[in-house]
Amino acid sequence: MKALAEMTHYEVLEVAPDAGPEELERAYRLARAAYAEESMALYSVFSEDDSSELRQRIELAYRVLADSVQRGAYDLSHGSAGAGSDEIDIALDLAGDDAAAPQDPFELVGEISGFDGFEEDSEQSFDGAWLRRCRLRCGVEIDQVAAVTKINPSYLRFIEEERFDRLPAAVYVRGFVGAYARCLGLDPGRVVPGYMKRLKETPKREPRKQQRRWLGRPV
Amino acid sequence: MGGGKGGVGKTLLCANLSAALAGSGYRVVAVDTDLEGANLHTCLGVSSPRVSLADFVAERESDVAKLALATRIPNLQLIAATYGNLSCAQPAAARRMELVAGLRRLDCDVVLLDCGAGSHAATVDYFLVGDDGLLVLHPEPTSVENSYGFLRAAYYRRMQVAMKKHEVRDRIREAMDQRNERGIRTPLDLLREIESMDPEEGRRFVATMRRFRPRIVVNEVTSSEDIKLGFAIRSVCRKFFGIDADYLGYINHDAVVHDCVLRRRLVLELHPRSDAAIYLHRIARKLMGALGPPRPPAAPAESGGEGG
Amino acid sequence: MSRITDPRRAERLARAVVSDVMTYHPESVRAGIEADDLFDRLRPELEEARTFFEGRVDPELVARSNAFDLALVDVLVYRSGRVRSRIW
Repeated sequence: MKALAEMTHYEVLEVAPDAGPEELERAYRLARAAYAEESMALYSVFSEDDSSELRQRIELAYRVLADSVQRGAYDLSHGSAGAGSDEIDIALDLAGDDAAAPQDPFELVGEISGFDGFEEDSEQSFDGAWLRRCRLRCGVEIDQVAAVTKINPSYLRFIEEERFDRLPAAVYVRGFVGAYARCLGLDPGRVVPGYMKRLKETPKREPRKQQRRWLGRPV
Repeated sequence: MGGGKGGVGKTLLCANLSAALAGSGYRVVAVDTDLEGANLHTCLGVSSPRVSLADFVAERESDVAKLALATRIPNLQLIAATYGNLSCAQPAAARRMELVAGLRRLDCDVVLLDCGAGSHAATVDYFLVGDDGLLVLHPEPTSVENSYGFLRAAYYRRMQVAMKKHEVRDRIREAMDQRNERGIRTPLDLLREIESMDPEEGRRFVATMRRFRPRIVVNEVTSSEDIKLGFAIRSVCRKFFGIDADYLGYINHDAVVHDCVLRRRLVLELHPRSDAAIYLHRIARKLMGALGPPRPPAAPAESGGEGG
Repeated sequence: MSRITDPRRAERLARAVVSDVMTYHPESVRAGIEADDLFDRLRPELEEARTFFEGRVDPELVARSNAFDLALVDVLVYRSGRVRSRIW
C-alpha cells in the first residue's frame, strides 16, 4: 500500500510493468470510470480532493505509458520492472539475462496469433492430447494458461489427460475448455463441441491412462 | 458471504452456490449464522431443523459436526441458525472461536457461511474465518457505502487479531472510530502509525493485508455501468485499503429471483435456464476453478500414480 | 508445417515442453531432487520432450542453440519450489 505520490504509473493504472497496449487501454478505461466524479465506487472513501488528484494521476499515467518513447524513458528512470524486489535470484544476475523467468502470461497470450502452417484438417479430433500439443506448439505452459484463465492447473491437466472422472459437471467443463481454447487463439466454436462430444461418449467409469504417449501423432 | 446490508443476496448466493458446488462433487456444508433472520434452511428444503447453531450457543451441543444436517441435495449438508421464534444472541467471543475451530475441522471440501446483515463483531468474525469472503452488494450508493463500512470493520478486526502488542491493538481500536484524535483517517495512515510504533508489527500488518482477498459480487445488475462497478470497487480496495480484492462476478436483475425468494426455492432448480441461473453457474465455475478439484471419495488407491 | 526459426520462440517452446514434464510427473521430480538423480529418473520423458522440440524447430537453430538444455536447467532446477516471475 502506498501513498498516491509514491505510486508508479503502473501501480496507478494497476497494470503489470509488461502490459501491452490493449491491456493498458482497458485498464485506463476502467480507471477513468472508477474514479470519475460521479462514480459510486468513491462513496464514503475518497474525498473530493483525493479523487481529483487520482483522476489527474490516471490521465498522466496513461499519457506516458501509451507513448512508447515516453514509456521507455520512464522505465529507465524508474528502474526496470520488478526492481526493488528482493526476490531477484543471484544466479540470474550471474547469467546476465532473465530468460529463466517465465514470460508474463498476459503478454504471452497477446502474442499468440493463430498457427502458422498448423494443420487443422476436417477430421480434427479435438481431444485432450490435441489441446496439449496446441498449447506446446504455442510455447505456453499450463501455469501460464492458469494465470490468464484463472482455472486451477489441476483441472487444465485433467482436461488434457481426459480424466473425465475428475472433472466437474459438463456445464462447467464447457466453460473451462472454452476459456482454454480462447487463451490459445483457437476457435471455441469448434473446439468446445468437439471436446464435449468426447466427454459424452466416454463412460465416466475408468480414468484414461494413455497420456504417457502424448507424442502419438507424428510431428 | 457478507456485505453489511440486508437483502443484497447473500442467502440467495449461499444457497445456490452450495447446490452448484455439491452438484459438481464437492462435499459442501452450508452454514447459516444469521440467528435473527435464519432462512437458509428453507431454501435447502429442511423445514424443521432438529438441531442448530442456537443449540451450540446455548451449550446444548458442543460438537459442531453434530450440527450438520442432511439436505435433499447429495453432498450438501446444512448447519441451520435456529428454528422457532426464539431470537437468539450471537455467541460470545470465546464460544465463537470454538465454533470457528469446529467449522474448520469439518470433514468436507467447502464450507459456505451466510453471514447475515450488519457489521457487528460477530458477523465480521464469520466473514473472516476464511481469507476470501464473498462481498455481495447492489449497484446503489447506500449499498456501496455499506460494503465499504463492512470491509473497513472486517479489515480493522482482522488487523486487531493479527497484531501481538496490546498498545498496537489499542491504536487500531482507536482508529476504528473515524473521528479519532490522532488523525488516522485511512488504512495507510494506520499502517504508518503502526510502523512508527514497531516496525515488526508494521511488517506483520502488511503480510496480513496481503493474505486478505475478498471476492466481490455485484447483484441486481441492470447496465454495463453496474458491471464495471465491480472493477471500480476492486480498484478502490487496492488504492484505499491496500487489499487485493477479486472481482468474482455479477448477477443480472432477473424477475425469476423474486419468485424464488417468495417460494423459498433455489434459482438453479426452479428456473434453471434463466439469466440469473446462468450468472450463478458462471460464478460457481470461477470458484471451482480457484478451488481446484474436490478430493476424490475414499476409493481404492489409483494405479498409475502420477497425475492423480 | 513450418518450423520455428525465431530463437525466442524456440526458447519458449523448450521451456513449455520441459515444464510439462514437471507438471505431469510431480512425484518423480520431487523424488529426483531429493535423491539428486532427477535427470536419470526422468530420462525417457525428457527424451520424448527433446524429440518433440527438435521436430518443431528448424534443424539449423537446433544445432546452434542450446535452448533445450538451458530450459532443462532453468525449469527443472531453478523453478523447483520457487515461484519467480517479473510481475509477482
